[in-house]
Amino acid sequence: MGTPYTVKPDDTLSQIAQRHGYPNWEYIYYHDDNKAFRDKRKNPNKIYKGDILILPDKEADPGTATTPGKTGDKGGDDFKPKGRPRKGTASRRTTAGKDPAKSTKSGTSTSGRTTLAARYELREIVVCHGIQANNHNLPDDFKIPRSLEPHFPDNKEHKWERIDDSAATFVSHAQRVRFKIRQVTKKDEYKSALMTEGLHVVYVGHARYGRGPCFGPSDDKGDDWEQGTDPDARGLFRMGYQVIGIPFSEIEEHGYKFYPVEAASRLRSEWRHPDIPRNLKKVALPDNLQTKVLPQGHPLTGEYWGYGGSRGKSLLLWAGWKDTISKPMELGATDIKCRCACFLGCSTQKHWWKAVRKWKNWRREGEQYAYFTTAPCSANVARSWLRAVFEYPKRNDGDPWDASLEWAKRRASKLLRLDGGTCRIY
Amino acid sequence: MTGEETLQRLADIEPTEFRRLAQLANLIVNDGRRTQADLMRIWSSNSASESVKADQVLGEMAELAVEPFLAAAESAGGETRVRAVVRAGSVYLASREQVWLKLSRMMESKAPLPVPPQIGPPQEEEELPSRECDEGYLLSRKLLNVEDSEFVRMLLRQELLSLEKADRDNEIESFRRTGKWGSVVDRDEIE
Repeated sequence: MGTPYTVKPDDTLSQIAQRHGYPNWEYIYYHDDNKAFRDKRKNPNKIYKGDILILPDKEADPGTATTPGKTGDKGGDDFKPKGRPRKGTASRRTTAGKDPAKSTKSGTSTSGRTTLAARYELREIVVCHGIQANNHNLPDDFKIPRSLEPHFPDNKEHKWERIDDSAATFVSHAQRVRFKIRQVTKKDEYKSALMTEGLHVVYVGHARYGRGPCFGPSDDKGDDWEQGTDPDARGLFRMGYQVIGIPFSEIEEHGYKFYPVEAASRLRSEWRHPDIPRNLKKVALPDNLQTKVLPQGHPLTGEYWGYGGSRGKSLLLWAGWKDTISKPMELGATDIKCRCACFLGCSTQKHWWKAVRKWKNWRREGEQYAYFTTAPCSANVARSWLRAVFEYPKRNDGDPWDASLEWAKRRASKLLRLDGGTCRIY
Repeated sequence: MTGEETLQRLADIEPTEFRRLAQLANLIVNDGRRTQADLMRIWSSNSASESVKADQVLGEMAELAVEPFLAAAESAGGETRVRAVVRAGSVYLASREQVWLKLSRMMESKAPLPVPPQIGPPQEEEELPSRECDEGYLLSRKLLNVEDSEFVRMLLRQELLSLEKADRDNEIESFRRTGKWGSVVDRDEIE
C-alpha cells in the first residue's frame, strides 16, 4: 500500500506526479490502489481539494511505468529501464525484468491486468469532430467512443473504460498500449492538437470540397461555414489548393459569403484543384448569390470562372492553405508536431494530400504519419479507423508506429468495404 | 476439399474474420494447385509425348496455368526455365485477350450502374454516377498504364466522371477509334 496524499487547492494530477517523481499522472491515477478514487473522480482533469489519493510505493512495484516517447510524458530517472530494450525502442520505453505479457498469459487476475495496464505505453488519440459530425447529432452506432464498445467486450485481450460520452480509455494487452481518447469540437482545439507532440489526431467531418476541416455547432448557418462568427472556434481551418470548384448548390445550401475568382484572373496550373477542368467558362451569379460576394479591394466585373459537369454548375473560389483569411487557423501557420494526422472527410486524398505531404513537407520518414480517404464518405470512416487501430494484434509499445498504422490502414479499408461504400484509407 | 466443405467452412466464418478468410483462401488455392503441380512435373519430365500432352492441357487452363508455369520457372534452369516463362506469358496474353473482348463490349454500353449506397449520416460529396462504358474506359487505362499510381487513377476517375455524359462519350469514342487518350486523361501536371 502506498502513501495517502490529500489534494491541495490548484493541484493537478500531472503536478502531483511530477513533484513525487512519477513518470506520468496515469501511473498514479490508474494504479490499483486508486480504484476508489477513480470511481469517485471519473474525469482525471477534475480533482478537488480534500480528495485523497494513494501515491503508489515505487519500491514495492518495480515493474516501472512507461515513457511513451513523443507523447509528452516524461520518464523520471527512477523509472529507467532495467530489462533488455527491444530493437529500436531504448529511448521510448522502460520495462523491468518481469514480462507483463507473460504474467497475463499465465493467468493474472483482473486487478493484476489493471496494474499492468498502468505500466503500458500511453497513446493519446484526439478525435476532432467537425461541423455536423459531432457526437450529439450522429446516430449511436457512429458516436465515438460508444460505437466502438460493442466490438471490444472486456476480456483478457483488452479493456474498455468509458470516462464519459466524449472520453475513454482502451487498453490493449496484446499491444501493451493504453489508448486514451478524447474529443474536441473547436477549430483552435484542432490546431492545438496538430501542434502537440506525439498525438494521434483524427479529424472527422466535412472536407468542404477541399477548403479544409470545418468546425462549429451543427445548426450553424451562413458565415459559420466559412470564416466563422467566432473565428477561433468556428468555420474553416484552410488547407487546400489555392483555387477550388464549388457547386452553386453548396453555396446556396449554407448561405455563406465567399471570394469568387474573377474571370479576369489568370490561374496558374499549380493553384488549381484537380477537379477543375481545363476548359473554364465565364459564369454570372444568380441574384441570390450576388449579395454574398465578398469585396476584393477593387470593383468587381461580375464575371467569374466556373464550369459545368455531372454535379451541375460550379464556381471557382479562392481557398488556399497559406496566408489565408483564416490565418493563423490554417495549415500554413501551423507547425505540425503530432505523430499521426488522419483527415477523414470526403475524398481528402485528392483535396489535402498535396498540401500536407508536398507543400507542408510533412514526411513519413520522420515518423510523421498521415492518412486520407479515397472517396466520398461518412462518419463510419472514423469508426472503422479507430477500430482497426485498436485491433492490431501484436506488441506495439515503444516501436515506431508504421507497422501498426499500415496494418490499421489495410484493416480499416476492409471494414469499409464490408460497409458497402467505395471509400478506402490511403 | 469438396465444394460443399468449402461452403460450410465459409458459412462458419464472420465477415470481419479476415485472417480466417485468408486461411480458407490459401486452403482452396493449395487444393486447386495440387493437380496443376502434378501436370507441371509431367510437363518438365523427360517423356516428350507426355510432356506435350501436359502442355496442351495447361494451355487450355488459361489463367489457371500462369502461376504453375511461373513456379516451374523458379525451380528450373536453362532452357526449361525459358520455356516455362514463355508459356506463362502466352497463357497470360490469351487471358488478357478475353478481358479486352469484354472491355470492348462494355465501352459500347451506356447502361448506368447503381450508385454505391451511402453509409450512415449524410455525406457532403456525392458518389459520381458511372456507366458501363465509363468503367470499361477506366479499366482500359488501368491495364495500359500500369505505372500509374493509385492516386493518379483516383484523380482520373473523378475527372472523367465529373464530365457531362456527352463529353465522356466523346472521350471514349475517340479512344476506341484512335487508341489514344484524349485531353481528359492526359494531364502531366498531376502526380
